[in-house]
Amino acid sequence: MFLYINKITKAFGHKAALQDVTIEIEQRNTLGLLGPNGAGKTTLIRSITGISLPDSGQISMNGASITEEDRRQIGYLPEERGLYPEMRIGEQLVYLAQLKGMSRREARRECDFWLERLTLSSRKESRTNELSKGMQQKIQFISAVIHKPRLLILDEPFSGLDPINAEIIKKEILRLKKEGTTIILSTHDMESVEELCDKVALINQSRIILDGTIHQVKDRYKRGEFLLKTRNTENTSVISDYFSILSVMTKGDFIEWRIEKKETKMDNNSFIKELMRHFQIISIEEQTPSMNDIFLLAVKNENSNNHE
Amino acid sequence: MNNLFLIIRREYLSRVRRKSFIIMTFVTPLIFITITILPTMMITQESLKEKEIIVLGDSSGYYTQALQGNTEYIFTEGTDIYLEETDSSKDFFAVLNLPSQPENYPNNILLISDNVIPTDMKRHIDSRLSEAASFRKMEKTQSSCAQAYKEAHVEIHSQSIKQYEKEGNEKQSETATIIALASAFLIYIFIFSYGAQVMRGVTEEKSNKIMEVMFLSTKPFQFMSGKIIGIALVGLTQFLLWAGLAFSTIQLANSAIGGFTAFLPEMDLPQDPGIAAIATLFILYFLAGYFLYASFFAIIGAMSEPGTDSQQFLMPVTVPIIFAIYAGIYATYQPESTLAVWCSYIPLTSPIVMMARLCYGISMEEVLSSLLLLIACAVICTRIAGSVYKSAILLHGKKLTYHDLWSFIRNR
Repeated sequence: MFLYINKITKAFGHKAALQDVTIEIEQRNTLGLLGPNGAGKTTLIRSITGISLPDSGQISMNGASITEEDRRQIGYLPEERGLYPEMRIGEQLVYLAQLKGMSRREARRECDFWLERLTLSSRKESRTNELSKGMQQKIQFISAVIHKPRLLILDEPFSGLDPINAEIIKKEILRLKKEGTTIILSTHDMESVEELCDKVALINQSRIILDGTIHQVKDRYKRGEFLLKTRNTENTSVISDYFSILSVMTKGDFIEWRIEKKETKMDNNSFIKELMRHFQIISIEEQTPSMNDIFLLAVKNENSNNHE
Repeated sequence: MNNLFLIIRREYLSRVRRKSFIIMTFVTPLIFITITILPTMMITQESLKEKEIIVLGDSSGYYTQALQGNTEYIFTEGTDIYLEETDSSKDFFAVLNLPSQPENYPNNILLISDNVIPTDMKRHIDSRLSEAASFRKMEKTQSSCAQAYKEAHVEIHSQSIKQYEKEGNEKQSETATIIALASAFLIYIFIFSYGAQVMRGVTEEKSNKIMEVMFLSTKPFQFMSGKIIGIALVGLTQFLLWAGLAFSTIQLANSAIGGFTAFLPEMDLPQDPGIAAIATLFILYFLAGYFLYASFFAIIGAMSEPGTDSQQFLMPVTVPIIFAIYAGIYATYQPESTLAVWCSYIPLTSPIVMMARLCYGISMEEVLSSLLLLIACAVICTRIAGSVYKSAILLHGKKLTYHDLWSFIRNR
């Protein structure tokens, strides 16, 4: 286990910010940290970075309690920008890398490498406040990764980025992951969660209400819905004890059926056999909910449970 | 430690490289000169009427005659009786007291005045008297060749004495007052302007999330100390540049117009403590005082949101500084008064008040104990500021109160 957050609790006055939060992350994995605004994501990140220590519980890295030296190995991109507005880009990146323990020479080399990679070489001598919001975000990203961190925490890394630049950053995140970096990605952009993350943890009202690999979570939330494609010669009034038809749509020579399993415990093979008795199947696909649907559903369920 | 150095370096370079620093380095002395020298020059212009110097002990009138020839100075032969009669009006500038046969007693010549004697006047008198004395000696030996002139050459150095010194310290030393007030004012200005820079820097960092990024590799205390030290170095650099600027201006002016320094009033530099000791103590008091106040300013910066309510926190810091400058001015008049003595020990006022008292015979023990007290207080306050800074700077969007401040200090 690379990072193990074990039952941490944090309260500000009487208000609980984190309650019994437990998260495990393997090395080279990317965890998507999800949750509505004010749920406790930032408090959790601050506990990991050591800005505000938890009231109880432990955080360990590589099996031992997290140390200052471990924290030096963390790269952090905060949600709001954390750069000196008046400082020149090159100088600033080298300074931040040096503070993380890099030699000046190495820091300069990495700075040039990253500026080149994110097509910002020409802005090396510009001041931060002379750059566009998107460019500043890219610089902020470089400042988080320049010292080759083992753990990278990204809080809304795509904010302010156009689709092209967001794609560039996504590629870089995937490359860093491939090179061995463990990543925590806190974002509201569910699409990128599906693209980049291996695991997700959903925090709502200071508690983890959902966690696991993307596959596990989707499995948990799938409703047994299938998209079925048949020839346009089928009888549309099919009745079965095993499934119900949600919708039927004729598309030229074909018909698209949305079908729901009545018995969710029935395995897919048996279910398909049952379907084959009624239809001449051209294609069939199980419909899994998107992360966005899961997010909305999980938070809604949790909140209504709490009200009850 | 390495990070502390990096932070100091950044804080220093980012300020020294600014155009405003360069401009202010050159503009401030100009403003300073304008507001100090200009009025003095105006007064001098008014007093450009000829200065009368009464020559005593020259019954033959030979030397008085020899001294004439300068448009600024008139030399009048006088007697002790003449002096007593005119004493009350005092419209003469100085008295030149010659022994009988000055050519034989070149070191017994006294130039006495109530005023600071300009170097130019002293130089004029010395050169004319030397020449005249040499001729007088030559006449006596009745030789006329160059060799004889050389042998007969008399080098006269008149001793300039300010009247009050003869009368025993009845008046305050002007130089001491100038040094005292100048250093007290410099410390005052420095604490204010550079303390405010510390505050602004901290507020700027609080306004964005740079500290959250830094926090992973740097302790907030390191960060705050780095900022305070960096800015102190900027101040020292500025002082050094001003000193260099003043020195080179004088040198330049000297080579351009020979004897420029002669236009400056002759300064009687204090002997105890010497100028080196004053300079050292100035630097120490300035640094310790600055550290003390900078830690307060850092707390204010950390506690206030940019552009909002820093004023309410600023009050408790500005009041002691303003009080100190008044106490400092008072101390130059009454260096041994209870107020002056107390204020030169209390760390909030001692950097300014002790500097103001320094030239009035304060014992080294007194100075050292006041300095140690100040340094100890500065160290403690910087520590406290460090913990408040850490707690306050990482809180966003919350307006802090004095109650929060107290809880940060208590929770150290």
